[in-house]
Amino acid sequence: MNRTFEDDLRVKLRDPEFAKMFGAAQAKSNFALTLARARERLGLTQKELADKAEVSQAYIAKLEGGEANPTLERIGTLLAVAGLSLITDTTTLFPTLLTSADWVFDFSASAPRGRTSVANVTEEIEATVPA
Amino acid sequence: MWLVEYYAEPSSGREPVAEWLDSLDKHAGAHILDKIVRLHQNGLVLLNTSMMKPIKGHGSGNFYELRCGKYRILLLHDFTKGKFILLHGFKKERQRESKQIETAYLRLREYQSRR
Repeated sequence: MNRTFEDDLRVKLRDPEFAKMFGAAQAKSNFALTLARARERLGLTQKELADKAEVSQAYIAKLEGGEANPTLERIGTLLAVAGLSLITDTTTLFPTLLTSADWVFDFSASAPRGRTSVANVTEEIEATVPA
Repeated sequence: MWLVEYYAEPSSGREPVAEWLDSLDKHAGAHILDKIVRLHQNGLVLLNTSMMKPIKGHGSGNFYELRCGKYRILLLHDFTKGKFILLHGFKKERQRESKQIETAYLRLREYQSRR
């Protein structure tokens, strides 16, 4: 039977250490896409954006590769050059995994007890939805 | 969403990229799997970022690399089936890249010869 990356990821995300590292990677690659999209919309090359923002082209390439770790201040500055402002929001760590109830429960087992655990939030949502 | 699959060797059924991912430390594995998820979610749009680049000089221009720090995954975009095939993963070292590309390209040719 062939393995899939989705299954591999699902198994690995049961490890809280791995999940944290994956979350860090997701934040960086998400911003990489946001920045590349903004730059494309303006029709700028990486070099042109770098010059406007007074950073190096190599740094823009690193940001768009999800390899850099910019401060929120730096993100705000870069986007302002493109006439844009950052909005932040959250989503599940890997949306297609939401269908897997066991993943939700395995993950929450390692979370501290209280209102912050995924299972509790899920239960709260379910409680508000009529059967 | 774009389909992403591991390349499987026809004789043994082994999936070299899956095995390679298992061999990495958690930090590298998490960051590389993140890039695979981005490929799954964004497909060829990643070419507008620095996360994915075409490999030139090999075949008909559907051969790419996914970049993650010093790590690389070489892949094929099988546009007839609308999916990406992960051919080969490696850590970039000086002067060995052409050999790695050769390994991936042999798998690409084998995959394309299937009927």
